[in-house]
Amino acid sequence: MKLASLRKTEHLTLVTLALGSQTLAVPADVLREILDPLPVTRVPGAGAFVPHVVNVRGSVVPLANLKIALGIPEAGVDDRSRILVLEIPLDGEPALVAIQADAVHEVTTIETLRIERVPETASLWPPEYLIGLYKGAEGFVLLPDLPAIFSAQTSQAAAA
Amino acid sequence: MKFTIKTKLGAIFAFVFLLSGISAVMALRDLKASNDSITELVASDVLRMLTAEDLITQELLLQVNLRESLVDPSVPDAGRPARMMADREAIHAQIDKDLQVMRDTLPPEQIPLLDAYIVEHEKNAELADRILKLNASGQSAAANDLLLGDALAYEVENNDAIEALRNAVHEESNAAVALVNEEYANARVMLIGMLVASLLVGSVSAAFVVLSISGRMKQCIELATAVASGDLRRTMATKGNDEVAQLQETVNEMVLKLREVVGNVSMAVRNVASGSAQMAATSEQLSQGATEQAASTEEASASVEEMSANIKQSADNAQITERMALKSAEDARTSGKAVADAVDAMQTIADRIMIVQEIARQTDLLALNAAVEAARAGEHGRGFAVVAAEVRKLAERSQTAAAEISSLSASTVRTAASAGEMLLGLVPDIEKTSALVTEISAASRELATGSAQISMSIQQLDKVTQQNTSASEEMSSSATELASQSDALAAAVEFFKIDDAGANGVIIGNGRMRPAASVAAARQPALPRKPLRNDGGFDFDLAGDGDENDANFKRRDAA
Repeated sequence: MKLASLRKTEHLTLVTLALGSQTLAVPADVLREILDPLPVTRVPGAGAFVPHVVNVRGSVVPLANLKIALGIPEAGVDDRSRILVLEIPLDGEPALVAIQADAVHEVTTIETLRIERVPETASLWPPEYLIGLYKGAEGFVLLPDLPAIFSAQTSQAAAA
Repeated sequence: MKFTIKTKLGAIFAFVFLLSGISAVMALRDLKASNDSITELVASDVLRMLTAEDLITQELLLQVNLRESLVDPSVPDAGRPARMMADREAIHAQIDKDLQVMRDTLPPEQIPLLDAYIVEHEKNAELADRILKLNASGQSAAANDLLLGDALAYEVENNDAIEALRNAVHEESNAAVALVNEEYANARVMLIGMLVASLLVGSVSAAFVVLSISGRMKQCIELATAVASGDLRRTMATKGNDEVAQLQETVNEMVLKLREVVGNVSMAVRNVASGSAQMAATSEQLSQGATEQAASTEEASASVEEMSANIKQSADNAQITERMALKSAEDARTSGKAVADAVDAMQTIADRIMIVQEIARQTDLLALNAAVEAARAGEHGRGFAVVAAEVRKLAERSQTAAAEISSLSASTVRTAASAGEMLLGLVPDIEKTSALVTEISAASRELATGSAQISMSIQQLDKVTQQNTSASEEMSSSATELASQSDALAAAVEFFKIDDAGANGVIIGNGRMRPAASVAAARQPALPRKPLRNDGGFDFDLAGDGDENDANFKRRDAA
């Protein structure tokens, strides 16, 4: 998903979440459910990005760790930790994935114009993983390009 | 060898007894000799004499018989010649027996006299036989002639011979008597000599012994008399080694010992005098000290009573404190329990708050999901989104409040727990305090008892001190009395003179006595010096010149 496609609409509803010290936002329409931490099952031979699967109402859903992809240090699980169940297109098909979040802040609606492109020179982030960012109340909020991250990580894992 | 009186007297008596014994033995021997002589005299000499006399008689009887035989009686008697003959035979038998006796008993030197007599006797007898035969044959005239002729001559010779024998025997017995008399005289002389010797030896020895004893006894008596009159300066020279000498030595020793004893006694008297003076002074000081002691004791008694009251007050206070401390401990224990209950209640509250918190959290999550759903519903879900946002806010607020309550209750629990611990920690301290106060209370009670005893003891001490005071005063007077008694004793001991310094009594003299007595008198000016012998009277001094009042009496007299 590109920024240009986002700008087709005037407003965008986002759910903000915290990963480490960073605040991320995912679009509300891909979010299926927010859950308390669940018992996880380790998948033998799985990579560091998707090491576990969880049982969400009977469906087996892979649990991804965005911190690996985004290079954010691990901080452990506390009572604010949540699991977000997303439905995102992977290889042209919608698929259910779950990501871990240190906290889920709020559901907010912003003007798409406020979303800015990530500077190309920023070396901290792989530029293709982010759609853009905007200024929130407490600093920048990053919008990750989840299909890109998943496909990239999956291909890396396959290559490995 | 020790010549004691016993030995001397024994020797003397033994000597005298020896002499007496010798005398007695000699007397006995002489007596025995006399007895023998007399027995001899009686047994042989007298027998011989009698036999000789009997022979003479028998000769005369023979001659008478011969003459009778020649005479014819006027009345014829046929048996007469035979009877006469028988008589004659009997006389001859008697003569033979006598002759035999003479022959047996006569000393040998007189045997010839006997033989001469026997010759005459047989010649005479043969003549008599012839005459009798003539007469028997009827020739009486011839017989008469023969008788008046030869027979008379023969008879004279015969009688002479027998008389010579008798005289010899008589002389011999006279000689024997003279021998006995001589022996008696010898024995008498010997016995008298012995008696004189015994008397001499006995009297000389007795005089010697008596003189030697009496002289030294006299010395002893003189010395004893001197001692009796108090003179101990002399002793006597001793000689010999008998009982009297021992008596002398003993008396000498006695005098020496008495001298020593009197010396010691006089020294002791001096010491007693000075000691009694010192004692008087000391007892005076003692009396003073005892008085001071009595005053101090009364002060101490008052102090101790005050102290006793304070101690009793302390004991009462300690008992009250003890009760309070026990109550405090009980209260602290109750408070601790209450705090523990409160802590439990807080814990329960915290648990309940956790549930509320969980509910709030889940409500928050539900509200978030609802918001997400509302957002996905787009315009249709806008109102629902608002409600979800409000619900979420409420949930967050309740969560915050619950968290605050939780932290508050946690801190309250901590505080209460620490308060409970502190209270529980307080309990042993309070109990310890209570125990200490109990001990203090007991100690105070003991102190109270002890102080009461001390008070009693001090009262006794006070009593004893008063007794001491009176006793020391008595002792003071006794010491004065003792000083005067030692004066008297010194005067009594002065009686003995133990050296040539004489009756002045340098050793036991009054010169040394005076200071002690005067000290005693000086220390007791109130007490008049007691007379040496208190016989219950007064001594009026009438020898003095009198005073001015005497003149008044005279004037009164004159008026």
